[in-house]
Amino acid sequence: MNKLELIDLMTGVKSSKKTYYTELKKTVDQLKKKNMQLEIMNDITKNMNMDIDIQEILRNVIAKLKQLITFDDSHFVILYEEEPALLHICPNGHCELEMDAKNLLYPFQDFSSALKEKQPIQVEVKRLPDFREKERLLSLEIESLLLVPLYGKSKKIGIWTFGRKKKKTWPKDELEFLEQLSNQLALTLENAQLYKEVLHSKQEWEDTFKAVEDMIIVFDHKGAVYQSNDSARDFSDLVPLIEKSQNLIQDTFSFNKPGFQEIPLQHDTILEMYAYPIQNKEHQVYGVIAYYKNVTERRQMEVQLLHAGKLGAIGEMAAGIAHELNSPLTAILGNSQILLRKTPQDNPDYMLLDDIKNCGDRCRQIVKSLLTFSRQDEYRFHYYSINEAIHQVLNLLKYQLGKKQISLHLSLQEDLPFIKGSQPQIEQIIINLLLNAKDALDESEQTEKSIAITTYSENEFLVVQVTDNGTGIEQERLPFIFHPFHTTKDREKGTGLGLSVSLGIAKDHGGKIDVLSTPGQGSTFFLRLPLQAEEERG
Amino acid sequence: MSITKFVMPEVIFGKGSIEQAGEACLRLGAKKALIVSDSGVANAGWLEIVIESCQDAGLAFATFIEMTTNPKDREIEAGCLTFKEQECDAIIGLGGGSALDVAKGVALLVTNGGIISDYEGVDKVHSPLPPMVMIMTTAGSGSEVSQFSVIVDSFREKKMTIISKSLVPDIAIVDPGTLTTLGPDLTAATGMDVLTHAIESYVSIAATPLTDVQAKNALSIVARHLRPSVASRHNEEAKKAMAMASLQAGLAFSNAILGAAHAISHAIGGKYLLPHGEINAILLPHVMEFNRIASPRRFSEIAGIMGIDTRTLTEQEAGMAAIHFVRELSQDIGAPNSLSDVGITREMIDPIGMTALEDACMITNPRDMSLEQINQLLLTAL
Repeated sequence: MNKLELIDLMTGVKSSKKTYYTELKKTVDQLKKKNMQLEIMNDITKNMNMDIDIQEILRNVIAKLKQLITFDDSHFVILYEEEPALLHICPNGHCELEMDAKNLLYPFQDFSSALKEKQPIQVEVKRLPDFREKERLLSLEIESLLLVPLYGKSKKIGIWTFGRKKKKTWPKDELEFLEQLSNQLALTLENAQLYKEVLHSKQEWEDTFKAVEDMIIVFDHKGAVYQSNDSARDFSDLVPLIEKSQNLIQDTFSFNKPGFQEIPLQHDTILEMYAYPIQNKEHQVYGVIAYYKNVTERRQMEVQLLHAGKLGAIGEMAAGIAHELNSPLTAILGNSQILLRKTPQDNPDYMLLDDIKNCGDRCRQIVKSLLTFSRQDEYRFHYYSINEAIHQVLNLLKYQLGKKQISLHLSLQEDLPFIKGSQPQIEQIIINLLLNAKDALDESEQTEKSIAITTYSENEFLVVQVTDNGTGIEQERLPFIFHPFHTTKDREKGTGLGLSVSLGIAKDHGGKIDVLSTPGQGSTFFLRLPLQAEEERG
Repeated sequence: MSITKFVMPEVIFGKGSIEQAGEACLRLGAKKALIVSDSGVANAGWLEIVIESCQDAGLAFATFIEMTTNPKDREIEAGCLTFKEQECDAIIGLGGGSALDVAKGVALLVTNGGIISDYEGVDKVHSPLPPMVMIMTTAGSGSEVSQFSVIVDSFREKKMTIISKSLVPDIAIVDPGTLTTLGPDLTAATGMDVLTHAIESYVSIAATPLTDVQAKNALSIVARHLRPSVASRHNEEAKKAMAMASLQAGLAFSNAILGAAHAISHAIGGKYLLPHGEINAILLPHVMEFNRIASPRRFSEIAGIMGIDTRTLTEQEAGMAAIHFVRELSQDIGAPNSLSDVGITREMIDPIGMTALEDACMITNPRDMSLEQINQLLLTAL
């Protein structure tokens, strides 16, 4: 300090006595500043654990910071998957994240050193290498850029920049505050990120929970429903289900072990219930997760499979018997034929021989049916008209039906397409159905006996509907009518294979047979055959 | 310098004004004052009067009187401790320059912290000081109105000059009555100090018309009243005049700063703890001789102001006459006229020069001074 400066300090106009007023004002100003700093810090801390909008926070912080610190430009460069992404916040305040990092070409060397040193670095914009932002900064007359590193607990978050039009060095207290602020902000950003991740995985779990088709119900220690998924909420018999679950839930609580039970409900619904205890850190059970699986369909399928198995066994047996019977039958029929021809009709033996021949015919018919049932005889598939098949059958049966005073009503849809299959086999089904109808009418005391045959297409099926007004079938017998050897007829009349064989043929054609029946009023059989028979079938 | 500044405290002047001390301090917002004084003043009864004034005003107080002439840094530390222990919030300085400089030092440290040598030099004070009421009991130092505090650094054996506007007291009480208890030696020594203040500030390169008025008045008063004041303890008119001279010289040098005499005197005083006024009395004519060529007109004016008829004299002759006048006055009042009179020997001179050169008072001396010139001057003054 030179002499004149010293004299000026001693006697100059600027040398003044320090007064408490000015000092107080200074203190108040400092306090205001501190307050503002605290407010900003508080703003950030407040949002620490909430689901925050980062851009909203930044906007708020920048708005407050502007009252505290002079700067003309500020933006964030956030490391997004290790690449810098730019977030503009000041001066125009629009907060879009520009992800196009490659175009950005940030002067990453300065950024890296700021991050490495973990302290702010001041750089001169003019001296920075060319990068896209530089043009904007220069157009705003920003001369110096302060790079404040953002560091979370463990990782680098990015850089916060402050641009100033004047190349003034930043005062120590402002730098210190910015460092504190950036630390806090980095933590918040990191937390927000973590929070979002947690939220996301929580959401994923919730979605999974919701999406499970089986029912999941979480019970509390009182056995009340604490949480349940959509399937459970939509289940119509939820109340009885919960009631029937209580025992297992209590057991699971008591024994702290998973449990299983089957719960039968109305309408033959069967549910499997799996119960698992939920434990806290001290291994105490505080809840039970119950998992319900609707196994009704599976059970039905199992029954059907069992049925099919039975059928298979019977089929093999039948085929074996049929083959064994064929040779002796041929002998019986051939020999009786020869004898019949040689025997005059007035010979008393003729009747006996004719009986042998007829019974032989009957046996061959049975053997043929057995072979068909066991698919020992195969037919080739071709296109045919179902109405034509019906007419063929009627040619054979018309007389028999007429003899029994059964009126026949036909209602055949004319424009039905040809379908692929074995016409003789389908004809056999129709014969079976008509003969069954006839038999049902035989036993009936109806005065006006009638059989109606209707054909029509329904969805993807072609339907042959055979309705009689005969005796009908008792409800309890309905499940069994398709079983082999199930019959109500006299030994002489039926083998009990008709419907069973018919169903086999229908299934081979990709179709099915359904029945509606009211005892005393009659039955209706529906033969449903696919309109588009599968090519590979047959 | 076209723009000037003049800083001074509120001044309460007049016989009996010392009784205003408590009231004045109370007005500054004080609740408990530390009265800094010395045993001499206490023995003379003035401390009692100040204490009474505090009691009358309802102002709590504590006292600190453990000090010596040429105030030391350690005394300030002790005063500071008392101030804090007693939870005081204001300072009343009562005494000569020493007591008042200690009072200022204490005030400085209690709000600024650190040690007193941190503030050596110009304008180093950063926080306001507690309210200060200064009551002078000698017609000399001018400390009651000045921005100076001169403290001995006991380690470096030098007087530190601390200059800051913040050291200007809030209220100065100048009571000529207090001068009546001073002995002739002290009256003479302090009187010569006033004269030195007046002359050095008048020729200072930082002098302004405002300081000139004060310096001139002081000069003229000292020239006429110092002798009678030394001569009689009870000459009220002389006492009143010298009190006014001390006050005005104080205002002058506080705002115009001083010169080589004080710079060298601080150096000698700090090293050998000799009475400030006496050293100034010895050095003043020598410094005047040295400085004369820097401002012949000012020196000739000094002669006129002191009452010498300069009408027939050249500027040079008038200047010389002024120096002669100072020597005569010094002799008349019995002040020592050579350094050897106060025990300084040739060998003791060496360390003084460098210290003097560093003193803030040297800055405003009208003539540049080298180490050799200081040594030469000291040799002459032996």
